[in-house]
Amino acid sequence: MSADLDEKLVRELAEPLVAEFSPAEQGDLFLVLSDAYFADPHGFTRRDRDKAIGPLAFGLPELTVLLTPVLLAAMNETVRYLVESAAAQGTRVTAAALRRLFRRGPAGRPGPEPELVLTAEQWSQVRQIVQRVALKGGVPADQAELIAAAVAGQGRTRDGS
Amino acid sequence: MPTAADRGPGTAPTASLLRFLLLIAAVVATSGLALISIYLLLPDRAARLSRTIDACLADPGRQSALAAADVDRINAASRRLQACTNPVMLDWAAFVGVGLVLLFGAATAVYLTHPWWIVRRRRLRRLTADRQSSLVGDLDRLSRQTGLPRTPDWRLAPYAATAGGQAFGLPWHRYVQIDAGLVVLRATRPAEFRAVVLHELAHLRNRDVDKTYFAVGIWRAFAVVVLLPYLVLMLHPRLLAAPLDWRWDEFPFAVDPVRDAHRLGSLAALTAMVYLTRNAILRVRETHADATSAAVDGAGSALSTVLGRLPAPPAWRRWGTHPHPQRRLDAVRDPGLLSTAGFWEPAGVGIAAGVVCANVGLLAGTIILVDSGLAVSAVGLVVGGPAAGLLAAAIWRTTARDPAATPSWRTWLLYPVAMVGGYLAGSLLNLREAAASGLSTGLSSSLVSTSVLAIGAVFLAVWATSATRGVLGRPDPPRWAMPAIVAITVLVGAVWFAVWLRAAQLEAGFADGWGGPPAAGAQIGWYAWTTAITGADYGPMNLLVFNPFTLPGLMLMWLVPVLAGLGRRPRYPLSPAFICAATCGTGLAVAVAALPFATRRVLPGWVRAADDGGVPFVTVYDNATLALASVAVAVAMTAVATRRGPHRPVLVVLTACLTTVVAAAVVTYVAGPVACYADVAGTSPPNSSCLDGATVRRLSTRAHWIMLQAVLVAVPALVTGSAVAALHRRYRARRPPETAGEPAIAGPARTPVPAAGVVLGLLAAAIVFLSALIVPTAYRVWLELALG
Repeated sequence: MSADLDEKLVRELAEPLVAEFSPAEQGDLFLVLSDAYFADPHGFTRRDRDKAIGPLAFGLPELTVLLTPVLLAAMNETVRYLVESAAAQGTRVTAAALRRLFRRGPAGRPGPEPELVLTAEQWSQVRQIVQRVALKGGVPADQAELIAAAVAGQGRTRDGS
Repeated sequence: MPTAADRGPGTAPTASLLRFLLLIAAVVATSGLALISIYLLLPDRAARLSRTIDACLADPGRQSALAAADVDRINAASRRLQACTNPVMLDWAAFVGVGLVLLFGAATAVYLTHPWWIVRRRRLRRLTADRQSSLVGDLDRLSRQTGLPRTPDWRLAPYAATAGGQAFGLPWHRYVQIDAGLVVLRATRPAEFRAVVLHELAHLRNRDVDKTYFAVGIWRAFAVVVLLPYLVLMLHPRLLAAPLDWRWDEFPFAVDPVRDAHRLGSLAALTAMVYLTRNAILRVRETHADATSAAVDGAGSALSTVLGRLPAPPAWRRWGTHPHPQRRLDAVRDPGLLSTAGFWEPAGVGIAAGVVCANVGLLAGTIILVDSGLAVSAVGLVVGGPAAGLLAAAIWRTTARDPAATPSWRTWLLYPVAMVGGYLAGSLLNLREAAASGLSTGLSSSLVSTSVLAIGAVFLAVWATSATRGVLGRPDPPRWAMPAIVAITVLVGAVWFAVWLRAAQLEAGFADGWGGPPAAGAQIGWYAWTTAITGADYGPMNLLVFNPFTLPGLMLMWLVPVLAGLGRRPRYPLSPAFICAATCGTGLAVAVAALPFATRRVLPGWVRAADDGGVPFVTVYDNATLALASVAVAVAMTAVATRRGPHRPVLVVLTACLTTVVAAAVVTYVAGPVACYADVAGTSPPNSSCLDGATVRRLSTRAHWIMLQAVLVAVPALVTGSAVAALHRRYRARRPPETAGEPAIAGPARTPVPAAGVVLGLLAAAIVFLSALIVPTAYRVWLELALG
């Protein structure tokens, strides 16, 4: 797998997180927002446009933090980090291995390819990436920490812990 | 939710409609003015105009005609001058016309393309029942709840983290934007989600979208087509001739800083008027949508919660596109507040009218008509009618809130005074030169003319308020009644303003010219005084006397309200008008019958026989009988105005018409013949010729004179009498004041309906007949110079 975005994989990795942390965005809205994210990943960060008020516009004054683009960005960064780390070590990471790495709930069926196992340092790096992206996306610090823990807490380290 | 103003016969004009019309008026006035000035900033056009006018004014025939003061030759020279200048003036007018067409074309383009632009700019995604069934299902239910005939095209703004929405689109395809943040709110705070969506749907139900986006388009087109070119050409007048050759000594501010400061100030004021009017349209739509959505959502509406969380705008955005949250909350709690028109609408209409009359109109008028006086009146007719109509519409809207309540002074006094004040301010704005701006006459003359305009506007507003209350106070008024009342206000306002504007252009336009000395008997104090008073010539009077619209206009002012109540209860209490007219008519008949004999006793025969070297006695006598008749009419009007009861303004006009016709008949068929038989002048005329003067043509002229003189006399009497009577009723009356629709007027009219109908029918026929008779003379006064 290349370091280029694998949209399908990122969606699959982010969707359970969206369902857990922002149930209102799951389902159809997740599809629309993820389409919008992949069409223009920076579109969600241009908040000045959000504040523009047109004629006949009406709504609450505060901005809502949309977790879909934040979690897509976070998982995108994470995947990119893992692919690049593997490439630096001369190995190749498959989408299936990443799916199994971040599987949620009961363990999936084992595939033919070797299981991806990260070191404690790599998990720590993943945690930092998710937390940083979440904070940058406007997620409150406590929620960003929970999201990062949820992502990093699913995998196993190389020593089996 | 229908507001109070939306009930009743027909729907009262909405505040946004009034403001939209004001915006159109303001843009046309301002743009016309700016385009006229832009034309003068184009070097080749300005030079051609100047050359042509110089050449045309050099006509030797004109100079000699002016020197000889020969009216016929001056008129012929005026026609030659008009024919000579016509090509350049038409080019000027065409330039303005093309500019206005461009402006409104650009505004239309902005309006037509706004859905495409919004969808593209915000990258809106269609929400469909197939893919977003739950969300679209909820939205469709809200749409049906609002009462929309078809659901809008729901579009998600995926990049918008705001929890808001926005309605837009064209009549055949409406959209509602749903922000992604709002969809999240649907799960977390569903009541607030409903409130926001219902607010946007209320915009669709209230038909706000087209007016709003067209207003936005007008503002943008105005900025690009008019404002920008004017500013650029003002800073660099030779831009088109030599774009790169800007010189300080040609910079307008360097040449005449005072003039250009005035121009710039005027432009800023006019631009502010257009911009603020646009914002006023947007603001009022928000409060209406709030009231509608709160009513649709019912008691559990979270709209107040949402509004309560909106931040108060800073002071400089007080007149922005969205109203203050507190005002919105007030409108939700009391939708009746939406029915009141503000000070701004009439003032803005006045400013637009002032700009047109002082600048644009005279140019357009003089291009079409050789008679400058007629041109001024034509402009007055075109401007005064719509202005009066907007005044009537504002009164209609305000009165509809509670027709039975005593009308607020804001309705009948503030609105017309604000309009006149706006007119005065508008006439001070000029984009050409300071010296040509503002008051065309001296300060005292302008004060007098403005006061006269204000008095006329207040009386028209008082009548419109009374007539509106009379119609809306009934349980089942006919639907045509209110539009008819607005139409009458337009007619009367247009005629009155056309006459006023013509007189207001003259330094002594409203000065009173006393009658000359009598042919004999000037040493008899009371006789000289009577000669002077009764022979007074008041400038604008001739224009209203020889005017076929004067009496019909006044007739419609009572006929329409009475017809609106025909066959309905409570009936109009017509008895006071009939009684006062009959009493005053009888009193007048007795007075004019006795007058010849009294005159013979108090005036020597040589005075009565004199007819040379001053005002002849017979003229003084005729004038005196007309004055007596006018006083009788004024007394009747004042008596009706000061009595208790509703509908007094309408009844006063009816009384004036009725008493005038009676008085004109008495003067023509009683006073003249009796004076002749009594040989009051001592000329011993043969009895067979005593009815020679009793012609219907004289009857018509006399009726017009009597009516106009009576109104002139009655104005101070009506104001004083009404004020005293109101104070008396307020502090001394034992019974509470009666109001429209209350039992005090609900009883049967004392005058039997068939008899009253016959009298009113005869009166209407007489007025039409008298007005038809004045047409030939009116043609000579008004149109002969222009049309030959």
